[in-house]
Amino acid sequence: MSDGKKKVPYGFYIIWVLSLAGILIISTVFLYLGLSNLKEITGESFLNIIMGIAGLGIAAKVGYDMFKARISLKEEAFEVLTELLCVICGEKILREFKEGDYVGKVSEDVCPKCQSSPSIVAIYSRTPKGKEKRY
Amino acid sequence: MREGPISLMQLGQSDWLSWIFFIMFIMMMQFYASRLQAQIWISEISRALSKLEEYSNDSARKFVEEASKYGRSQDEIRTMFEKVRGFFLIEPVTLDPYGAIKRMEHLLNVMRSHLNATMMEIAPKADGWKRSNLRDQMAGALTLDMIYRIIRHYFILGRKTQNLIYIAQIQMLLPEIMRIAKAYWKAGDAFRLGIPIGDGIGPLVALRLIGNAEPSEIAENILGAEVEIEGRKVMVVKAKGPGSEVGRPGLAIERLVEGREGKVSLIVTIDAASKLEGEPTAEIAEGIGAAIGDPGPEKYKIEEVATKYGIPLHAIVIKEDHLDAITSMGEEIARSADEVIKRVKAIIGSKTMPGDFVIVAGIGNTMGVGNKMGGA
Ligand SMILES: [Zn+2]
Repeated sequence: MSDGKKKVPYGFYIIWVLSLAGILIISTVFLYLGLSNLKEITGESFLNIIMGIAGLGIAAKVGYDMFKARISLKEEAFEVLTELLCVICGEKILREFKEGDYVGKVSEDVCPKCQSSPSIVAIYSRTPKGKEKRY
Repeated sequence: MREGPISLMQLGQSDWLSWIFFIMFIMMMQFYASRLQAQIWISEISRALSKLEEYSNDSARKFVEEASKYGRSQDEIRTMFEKVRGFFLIEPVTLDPYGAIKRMEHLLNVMRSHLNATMMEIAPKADGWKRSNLRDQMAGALTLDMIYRIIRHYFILGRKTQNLIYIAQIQMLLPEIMRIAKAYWKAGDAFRLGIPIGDGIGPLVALRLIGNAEPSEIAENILGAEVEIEGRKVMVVKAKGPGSEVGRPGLAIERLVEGREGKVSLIVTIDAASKLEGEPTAEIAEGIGAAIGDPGPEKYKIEEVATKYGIPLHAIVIKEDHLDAITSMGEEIARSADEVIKRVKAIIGSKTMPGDFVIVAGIGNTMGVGNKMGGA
């Protein structure tokens, strides 16, 4: 039902991954240069180390953002349920919502116990903790 | 011997150079920081804007698709939808407040009948129930279109003028705007399928109170059924379901009270109210007054007639996020109906005597909620 949402922009991902790799490589090079010259602390090696650490930090942030985006692109769990009650024998039935259901309606469903028609007593959505509802 | 000082000098030079570059870099960052910030924000807004456009287009497409099942082709509906796009209601002047409510009421009546007539054209073969659902699905799509246009306006303005104030304002409001837009987008599906929404808790409680009693129409799209609760005669009022309808509860209550020449002991209104952040969903609160969130006229009528005859006005509200109110009703909200009924009975029991006449009104959108148990 949310076809519009499933379109994953692949180009965007490629750019993301490439930039992540680029930042990682550059920052490791900087870090290596800085650390290999560590015997005599000059401004340059100090600068290299700072650049390397900053680069790694940026890479971590970009990677984290990507991870988060991937999570939010996953299908969201949801369900809308219709609760039926048989007036004759008191049997409760829970099933998925169907178009045309409304609270108070005598449903076309058949009571599994006494074969009479139950009425709809409630319609609600149930969303697992931490998930978003879809309707 | 000669190499020593030279290599030292060279080392010193490159050291100097890198420091100069470093300082220049920092200065440039300082200089361009606000520019850079603006650019980052603009790209954030631009991403949100394309998401908004997606929401808006998707809900419009779904509306056209759904409406096309009822007698018109998709192209015809699209043309008609384009005409309704940008539909507006100009609020009456309140500089001279005399009769502002009356004028507002008139405008709302005209708007309702105009929208209904438009729906009649768009979906001639739909029954009344489906037509009102379609009307409100369309209203959702129009709201999303409006949100998209407003954000686009500030985005273009901000980009054109590079004015950080415009950009910052929108950027800071963005999370809330996106949350609202997403709710409207989801609401479209609820209206398409006719699932009860969070705002429907008032009518749901009313339906539970009505039970098997036979309801009759009191006012435009408002039904009432008389039941007995603890020896009191209770007129339970709700919008006419199961289509998306709020009706005119104020008018109905006014008619009921006037019809009995004011011999009403108590009016209880039940409605969903927006909760504060941190309050639990489906928390029930009691108070005094008319619990109804209309633009004014209906609430005015209830207060007016209650004041005229000195009838106590009690209210019960069910707290929910204002975005939950327009999307499918959550389980905890639906389950709260039992507790609300207990509260209604307690209020009636403590504030009135047996034999008294009481009005209980379940305010809200009755989509997916019928008019009596075990029947239409
Ligand atoms: Zn049964």
